[in-house]
Amino acid sequence: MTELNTLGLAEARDALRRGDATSVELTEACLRAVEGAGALNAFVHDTPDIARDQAKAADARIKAGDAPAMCGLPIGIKDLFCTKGVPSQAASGILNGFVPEYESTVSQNLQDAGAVMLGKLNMDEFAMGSSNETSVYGNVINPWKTDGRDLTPGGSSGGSAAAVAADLCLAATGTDTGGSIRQPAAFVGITGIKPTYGRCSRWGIVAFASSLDQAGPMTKSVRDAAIMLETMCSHDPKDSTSADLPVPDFEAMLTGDIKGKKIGIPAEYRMDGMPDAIEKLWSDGADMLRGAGAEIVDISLPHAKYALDAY
Amino acid sequence: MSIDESTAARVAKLARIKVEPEALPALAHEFNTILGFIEQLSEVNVDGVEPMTSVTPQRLKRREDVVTDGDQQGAVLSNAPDAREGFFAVPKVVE
Repeated sequence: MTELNTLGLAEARDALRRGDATSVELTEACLRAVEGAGALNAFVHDTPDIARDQAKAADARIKAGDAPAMCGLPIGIKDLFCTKGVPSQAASGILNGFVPEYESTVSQNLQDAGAVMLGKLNMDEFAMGSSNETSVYGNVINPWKTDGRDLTPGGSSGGSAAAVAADLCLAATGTDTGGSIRQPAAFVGITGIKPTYGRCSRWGIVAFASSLDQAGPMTKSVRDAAIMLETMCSHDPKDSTSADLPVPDFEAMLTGDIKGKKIGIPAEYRMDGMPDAIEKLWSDGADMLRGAGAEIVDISLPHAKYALDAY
Repeated sequence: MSIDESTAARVAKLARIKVEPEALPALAHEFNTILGFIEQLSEVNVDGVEPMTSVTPQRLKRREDVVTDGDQQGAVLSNAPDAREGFFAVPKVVE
């Protein structure tokens, strides 16, 4: 049988609903994986007791027929999220010893849906960095290797990226201000999405740049990202910029059909001196979209060069 | 405009951040990089461009001016390094 910790959210959800596995079994598999992966330095505050209690409660909910999508699924939470009674340091020595008395809205939404928290995940200090080398807990190591050298998992959500890629958890929360979900997800070969600003409440997340910060899922597939994002999103009166719009069924929107869609490729994103291998990935990607029936349009975003300055 | 080492030292003093003299050139350089960003932005013509508050059309939320939370003195002070008589206790900072 496949090791349970290697499952994605959708597969695990379906297995739990069928009764092929229990949340306690899933959780124990993940806790064993976390214990054996200290070298990655991805998990920095383990919460096995909380995880085991939540797993038992989730199994009871599933048995009772009350099982939201995330129910019983073990995940990791980036250290930037305040979690009640569990250290939340934003990977900084300044917040050493800080134990929040409250829960961030996003992690509360996940908890309410029955998700199991395995622990807190390493990151760049205060989310400022893109290689996970500025953390008070030390560097995170990318589980992938090309030779003997340790590679960066990217950042700032580097612990989340490494943990998901190494199957320590089924999925993890990340946050993205200027690439902190998307870049590490790319570095380790997983799926990550920064949702439209306002979808996820920022309440209880240590701020970096409040008009740009958004939480998002880091998962093993696009379907998993859709499932987890739907649970993370909500309108929250405690965040005045939170979008008061109904949250759609993202998973139901995954039809795989992009026929007739117009997809723009901004000229400014193709940097001078881009390596040939990356150029080829770009053109292969465009060909794949074209092959699926989309129309590729070259576009220009003339203000793109000011993005970094504004950021 | 550019920041020299003595200006960087003054900014550090006003911010009450201790900066060793040998670290001042690097700090002044960082300040100048930030000013460079601002200068590059100033070349953009924004005449007639309305300020954007959000990518989705929305107004800043308003609510009744009433108390929505409170009576949590213990929780508020639980992370204080030093709390006395229901208040945060801090070292004297006014000279």
